[in-house]
Amino acid sequence: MKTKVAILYMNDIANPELVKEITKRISAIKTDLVMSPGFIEEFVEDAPFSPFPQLLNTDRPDRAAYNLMEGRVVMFSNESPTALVLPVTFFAFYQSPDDYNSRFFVGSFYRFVRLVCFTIAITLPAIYIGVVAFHFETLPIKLLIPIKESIEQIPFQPLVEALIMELTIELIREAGVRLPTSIGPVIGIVGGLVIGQAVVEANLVSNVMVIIVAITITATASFVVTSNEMVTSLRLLRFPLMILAATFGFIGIVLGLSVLFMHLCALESFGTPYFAPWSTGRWADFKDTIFRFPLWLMDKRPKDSRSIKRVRETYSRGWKTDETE
Amino acid sequence: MKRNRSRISQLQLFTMVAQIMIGTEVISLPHSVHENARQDSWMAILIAGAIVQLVVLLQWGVMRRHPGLTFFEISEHVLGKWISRGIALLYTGYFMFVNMLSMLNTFSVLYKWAYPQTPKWVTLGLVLLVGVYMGRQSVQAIARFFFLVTILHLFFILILLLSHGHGDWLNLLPVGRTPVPSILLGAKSTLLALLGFEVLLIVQPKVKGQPSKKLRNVSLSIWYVIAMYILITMTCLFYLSSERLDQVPEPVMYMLSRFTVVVIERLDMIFLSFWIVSAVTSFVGFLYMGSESAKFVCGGTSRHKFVLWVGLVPFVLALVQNNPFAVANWTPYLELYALVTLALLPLVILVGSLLKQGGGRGKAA
Repeated sequence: MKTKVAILYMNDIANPELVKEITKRISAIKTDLVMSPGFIEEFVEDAPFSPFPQLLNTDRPDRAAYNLMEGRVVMFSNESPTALVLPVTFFAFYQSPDDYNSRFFVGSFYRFVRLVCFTIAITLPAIYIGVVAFHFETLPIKLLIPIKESIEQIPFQPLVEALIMELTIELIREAGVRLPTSIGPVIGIVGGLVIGQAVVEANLVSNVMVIIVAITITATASFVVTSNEMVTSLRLLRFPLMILAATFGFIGIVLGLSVLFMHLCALESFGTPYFAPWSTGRWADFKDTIFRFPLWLMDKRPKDSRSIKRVRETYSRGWKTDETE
Repeated sequence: MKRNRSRISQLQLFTMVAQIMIGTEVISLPHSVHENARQDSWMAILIAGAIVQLVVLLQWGVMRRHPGLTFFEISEHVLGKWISRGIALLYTGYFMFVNMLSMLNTFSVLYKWAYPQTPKWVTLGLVLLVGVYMGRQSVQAIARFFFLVTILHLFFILILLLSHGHGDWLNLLPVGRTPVPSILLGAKSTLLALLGFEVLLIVQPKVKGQPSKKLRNVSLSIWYVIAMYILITMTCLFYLSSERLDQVPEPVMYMLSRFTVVVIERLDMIFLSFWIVSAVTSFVGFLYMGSESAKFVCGGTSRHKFVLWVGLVPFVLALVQNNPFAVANWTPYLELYALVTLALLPLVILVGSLLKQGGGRGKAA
């Protein structure tokens, strides 16, 4: 079965080397079935064993178009509405086209919130387990007493307790997604409210743990809008960190995170450092990663797309000085 | 997509040097300097900085004459194949020696302050695993990671500044009353915390830019670390009395265990978690340098297979030593070893290079 694949790029913006590379990788694919862009993604990405998605997967035309104008390459395959964008950095998964529609304060704020969510989503359960299992002394006494009281009744280790709760929530969410829309939300409510309440009253899971898991789940869910793939990989990354926290405490978490960040620094997507600009220190590229600067301040395309034409905007607000003179 | 492979920017060079220099000793530095230099510890650290700056100038003098080569390749060019391999072997030994001491330090601090029940092989095995994983990545990735974790220095500085309100400035007085030999002894014990500046010898061909800019950035990095050490030492001097500083081998931890910010009762645990990153980056830096020199000794093309061995030897050596004073016992030997490898050998090679090329710049410059 031959599947048509379209490679889209702006001729005078995109880097020809990049186009050549992706053409080479696509023509190397020899398989009898390419169902969706997900298949292509697995064949062309740089590090297939990495937990992080290295191509951006989007259904939104405006997002694809914006990336196209940044000098990236967009791929479509036949019979699928999803576009693949490359090369991307880690922070591309946290950008949403809506950021550019709202005022830049708002846009920057939500960028920031999403990045905070990233940290919370992978570290919060681990930090809680670390505190409860190893480092009680780090909590002030007024916070320590309620936490200690709530976990005193629980027959399990903190890790087991956390795993029960996390897996239950994952299960409920998966059920909510798969079930027909008429039952899905009901399962969500039953899971969230009823089971949560019952599990605490039965002394199987502590109050605080339910709060921690709830914060984590909401933190993860809050950037579902920008990239579903990134969220799924983050959901997995929580678990090794939780196990490390239960075995080695804070040192385990810190060393686990070090390995994670080392991996992010070593990872490259089509020759572009994945964790740029944080790993490379290109200050100008910070304008569109953790912040969303006003558009008239982002004169150049981000460097990670390696476009051949850097300038994209000049003096659009030039009328202002004309008028005042 | 081999574009820009193995190229390190000047900014990354700066953070790389700083990350390798700041290692396990930072936690006990105020104590070890104060032992001799008393209230004039900051002078001792400044003097140590000046000494290190001189050594870096010397090393740079060697490197500048052959910009595209590593130190070992230069020594091969000047002294021939076999002598240069011997030199590389000496360096490999030196890097492993430093890593052994840093492992011993890591264990003793973790054992004393947070993990009294964890067996030695588990604590050190964890550090070794993480270190070897990182050391096997490309230099560029290591440099990027070192750049990234330098953000943690902000937290270091912030945590230390928090304590300034509680201290007593009078502890610094009288200034300059410590005899000069004692200050010099203090400077000597600071030098151990400054090892790692020699990374330029090995990483130099992979750094972008002019040799003079490289020197400027390495020097800046050294003085940045010196400033950091002075801040740490001063803070401990303000906060702890002279007698207390003599008694406590890890004054930074001791001081921070008294401070509380909003929801964190024990700041020292947070400091310890950040400190382990510094310890690991320093470990990884020496692993990288050690594997590069081991590669040169064996004449291989890839350093990756040496990383495990260069890490395993210090690990085993650290495991078999159960003497709590092992670090103190080994320190004089390391000082001598470092003097030979870091200062004498570059001097010999510089002289050899000058003689060989008759004082001219030669073909490489």
